[in-house]
Amino acid sequence: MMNELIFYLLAGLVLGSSLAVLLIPNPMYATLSLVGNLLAVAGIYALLNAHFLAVVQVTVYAGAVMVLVLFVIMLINNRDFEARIPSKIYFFLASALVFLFLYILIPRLSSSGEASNVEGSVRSFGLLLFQDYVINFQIAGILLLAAMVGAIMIGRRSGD
Amino acid sequence: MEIDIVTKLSCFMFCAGVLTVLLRRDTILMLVGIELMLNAVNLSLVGFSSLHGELSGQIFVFFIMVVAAAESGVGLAIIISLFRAFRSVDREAASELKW
Amino acid sequence: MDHYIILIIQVVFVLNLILGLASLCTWFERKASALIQDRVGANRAGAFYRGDNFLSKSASPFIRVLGKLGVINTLICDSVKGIMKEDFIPKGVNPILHASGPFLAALPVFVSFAVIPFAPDFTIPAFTFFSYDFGPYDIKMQLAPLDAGALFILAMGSIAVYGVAIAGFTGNNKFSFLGGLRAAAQMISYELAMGIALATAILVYGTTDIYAMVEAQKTVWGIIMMPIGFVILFITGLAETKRGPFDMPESESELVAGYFTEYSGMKFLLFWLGEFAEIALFSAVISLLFFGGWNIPFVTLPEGTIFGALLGHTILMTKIVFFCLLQIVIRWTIPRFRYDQLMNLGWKYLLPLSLVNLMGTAVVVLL
Repeated sequence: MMNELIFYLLAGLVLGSSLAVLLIPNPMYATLSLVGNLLAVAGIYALLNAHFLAVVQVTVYAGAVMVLVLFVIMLINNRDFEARIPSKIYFFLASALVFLFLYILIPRLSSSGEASNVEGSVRSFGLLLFQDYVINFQIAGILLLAAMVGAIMIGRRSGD
Repeated sequence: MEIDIVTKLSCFMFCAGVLTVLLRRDTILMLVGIELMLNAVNLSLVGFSSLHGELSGQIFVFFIMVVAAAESGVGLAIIISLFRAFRSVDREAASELKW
Repeated sequence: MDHYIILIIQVVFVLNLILGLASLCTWFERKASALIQDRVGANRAGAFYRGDNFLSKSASPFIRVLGKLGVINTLICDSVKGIMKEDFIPKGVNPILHASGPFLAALPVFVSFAVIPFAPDFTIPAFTFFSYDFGPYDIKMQLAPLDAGALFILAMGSIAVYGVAIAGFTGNNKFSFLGGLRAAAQMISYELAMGIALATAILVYGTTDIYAMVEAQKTVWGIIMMPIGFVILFITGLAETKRGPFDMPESESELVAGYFTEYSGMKFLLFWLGEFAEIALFSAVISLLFFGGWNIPFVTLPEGTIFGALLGHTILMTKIVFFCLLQIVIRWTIPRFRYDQLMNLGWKYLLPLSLVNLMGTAVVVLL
């Protein structure tokens, strides 16, 4: 019973913060709503027995990536343009199309069922990661290195 | 807990992400929309992994997070370059290739 | 039903403990800083108290002693002053953002205390009280016996960056903004080395559960197994809490007051409370991971009894208080780093050192 209650609370937070990201004009508040969204989704991961993923989501996604986005927003404070969503017609048309497409298509593809117990503890996750997916792991490391070098190269001033 | 509701939740988040990318004028917020879309996919993957009892879904989510972190880093560097070139992060400002 | 009541009792206990530790650190900061700097410090409030009825007459020697030590000054006068000050919000700043700055800086610290075990597990045997049967209870002294406890503390450290960045930004002046950015950059840089040092500890103990880590130190303390890891974790912990020689963000002589320039009254005190609670958290992590928690060499505690739990709790608290006081003394003894020296240390020295340490420890564990 407690599980269900917490799940509905977190689901409400997810819904609310997604709408807030879409609708709030100020970019800083929209980013903070996304942070709230990431934290609520981390809670849902914990409820779905994905403990390691919940912690990684908070540490990496909500704790590092979004801080970078927040830094960029804080440093670039020059907003002469109107941050509102353009005219209402486009908004409603786009929303209707997207929602209809996804809400009609996706639920026909999913299978309904109860959540079975998957062992998402750190130990089992690590064992699977380093035994079956070790090559993917190494490639992910190289990808991160490439991204880091690339970001530094792109972000340099053109005089260096 | 039924998995249907997790799928619908992820669907809603994905819609919100797509609309953010389409409708917002600020490039940084478009990046935020991309992150929201990736997050929605992560949620649905974790939901299905829990449904079938397979741990591979969670491993996939781990790699998606790695890729998302990498692309947001590079994306922010690109946005900063855009800002230096056009003095604005408006997506309408970077329109020199228009006819 | 029963275990909810036990949970509530545990929550109250842990909250009291955190606030008690934070208050102790606050008082010790004022008095020890004064003694280190060769002055006396606060000793006037309540120092000359004389009672006039029986109750206050018998209490007055204690009040005088406490007043001379500066306890009343720090704990009562400062709190009352902070609560009654005008809550000042700078113009043109969203009040919700302004209020959420100290909240986001202090909340992750309090939440992290949920995964810290304060005593070994014990069992309350079945007893009857006024003809109600209370069954035997297995009580873990950890609010949330998570499987990924050590990683949870790291995750909460990542959230604490938000409080600092938002607090600096909503100050609406260049000084606090600069202080906030520097603080956030410092915290992120040292989080990396801290994560790798924690990974070394996880590697040696083979588990991320903090209780299991303490249980694994029954024969030999953690620091003998990983000395370099301890040094790295200590230094990065000092940098994370923005204390000690790493307090560039709040360098009082340079940046007005750093990232909490525009806060007054209780919000300012909430920042300080969060900082001292983080000192306590970090001392708890060090003493649990490296110094054996509640284990003393050559002594085995009686397992599972209330007496063993009390003894273990006392030992753990002694270690935690020792490390809290050590951090405060370090802060007032060592001059602070310049910002580029700080970043240099974090990226060029601590990060490679922690990686080499991890690889070396992995090799040793494998053999």
